[in-house]
Amino acid sequence: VSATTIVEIDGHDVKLTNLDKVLYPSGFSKAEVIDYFVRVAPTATAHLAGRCITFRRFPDGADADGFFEKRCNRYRPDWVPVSLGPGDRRGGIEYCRVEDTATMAWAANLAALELHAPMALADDLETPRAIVFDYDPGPDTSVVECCQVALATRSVLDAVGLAGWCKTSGSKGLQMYVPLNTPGATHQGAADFALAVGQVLERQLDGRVTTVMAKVERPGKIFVDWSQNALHKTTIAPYSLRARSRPTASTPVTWDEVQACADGDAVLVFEAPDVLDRIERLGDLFAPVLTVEQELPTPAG
Amino acid sequence: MARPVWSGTISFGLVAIPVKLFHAVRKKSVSFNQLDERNLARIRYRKVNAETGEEVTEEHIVKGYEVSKGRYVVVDPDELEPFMPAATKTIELEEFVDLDQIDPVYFDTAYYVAPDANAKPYALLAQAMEASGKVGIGRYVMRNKQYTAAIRAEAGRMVMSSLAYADEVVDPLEIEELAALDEVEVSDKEVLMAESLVASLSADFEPEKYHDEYREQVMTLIDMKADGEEITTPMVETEAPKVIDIMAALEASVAAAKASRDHHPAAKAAAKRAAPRQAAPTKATKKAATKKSAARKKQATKKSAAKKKQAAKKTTARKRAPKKSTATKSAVKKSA
Repeated sequence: VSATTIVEIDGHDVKLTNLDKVLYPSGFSKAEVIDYFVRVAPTATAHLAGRCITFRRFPDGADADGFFEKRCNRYRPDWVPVSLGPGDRRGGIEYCRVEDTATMAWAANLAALELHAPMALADDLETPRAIVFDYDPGPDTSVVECCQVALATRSVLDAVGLAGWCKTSGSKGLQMYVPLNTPGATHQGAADFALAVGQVLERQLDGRVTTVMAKVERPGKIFVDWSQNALHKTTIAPYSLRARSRPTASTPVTWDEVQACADGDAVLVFEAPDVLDRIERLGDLFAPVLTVEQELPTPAG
Repeated sequence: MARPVWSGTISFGLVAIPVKLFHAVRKKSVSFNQLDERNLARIRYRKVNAETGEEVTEEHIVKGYEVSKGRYVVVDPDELEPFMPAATKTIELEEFVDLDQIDPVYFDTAYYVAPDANAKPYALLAQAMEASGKVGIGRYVMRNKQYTAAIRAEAGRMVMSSLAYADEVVDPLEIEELAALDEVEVSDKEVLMAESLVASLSADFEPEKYHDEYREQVMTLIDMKADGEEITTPMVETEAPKVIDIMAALEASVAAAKASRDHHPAAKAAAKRAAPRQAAPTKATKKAATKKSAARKKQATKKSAAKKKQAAKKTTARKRAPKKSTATKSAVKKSA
């Protein structure tokens, strides 16, 4: 029989269960996951708000099979807001929106260790707010090479006057977001641009980068996943935990840290307590992604 | 009518007794089918090539044994054929032992042994075994696999259990937490207290007392749903929960989890192993960052100053009310 605790957060009752259950092989418990979600909420919800959030739930722990939950759980409390988002052929799916601490606590209690977010906001699904470059290390490569490719991407984007911000994937890779926050941006345009930049990198860093998804192309290379910019795709949200052996999180990093990583001087692995500590010291390094307005260069003619 | 899972003969010495085996335990877990929620059709699995994603037909599927990561030895069924135990259809009783000599950890699947055709030789063997208090040990083959069996008699009936092989039973000393028990010291007084606690809770074993409550609750839920009753929450509250402050609610559990990690011998070892890996890079980051940033600062400030000016120009030029997303607005307010 599982003990249930009901807590009140901002006027909402949130039911918490099985607090002592261990969710990570390292011993990190459900109480600690909820504690992290609640503490990171003021920073993380800025990046989740207004979006259709996909939950990746691990009720049996991070080392067991998890499952993606796109449709907002039917037993959700009535104060959890939902929005229609990309669905199947028969129409949209009602996703959860995660915009406050109470919803974060509720999601944590569902063992939704991973929160995945799309590039667009729910009330304007056709307009991506940012372009994502997802650096996925193939066999025999690591985050070090991801950082090197991110730096090369930065130079390419510099030339066309675009700035980007990086975060770790919380797993093995790295992601760079290039904020747009301007009307007229399209998923197709974002994907085309990311692919074009990826192909420039393929040529510049001969043999170290691929834009082809096929697994055979990947050993020894960084896969620049441009297809993450599609309408129906989601990327691990900033500050979300990952389901790995230890409670690592997708963590925004500075360009100095990316440089140190590329030089082999830093391993960009941050666990939940590190992330909270970083937010206290550095603030939200990813805040500019929500506000900086940039436009993609338009092809001449 | 129960159906036999095996039929053959028990043989010992020159006697052969025709028998059938029936499962003595029927597992009762709730099993769900995966459905497509759009039309409730069943979900089917397809075998696909992990590299290409293409579906693979039966004729292309072979058996491979993973020798080391990513290295496989392919084995043809014909090569295995000579090792297959012959389906002899007999349970050869080789010896009789005392039941309490068999550690319960060895007992696996239980079967009722029933007489086939003539019941007399069966009844004779059962009574003889019961009278001597012995258990017959033998070997048999079921579905191409050889098993060891223990047959015991009770109330004139025979019950058979397949037995684990000795090399399948895990050595308890392989388990760190069990090996560490040798170092625990307890006083006689503590043992006495524990013994009296055990004595006070001693009872006759009544298996009927124990239920799979989860299965029963799930089946009730399913029955209600099948009857068309709308269920909003399957939660069964056992005690009236109190509304309390979240940090206070989590505090005890967080502290307990941390404490158990610190005291747990395995976790401690793991933490020790992980520690140098973690500590070193952080230090390196800091050092590298300060060194680098000092060197890069000159360049960087110049560059970023220029950029800032540009950015500032851009934003002023583009200042217009963001019509979209009240959500973002409120979020920005919150984070500010």
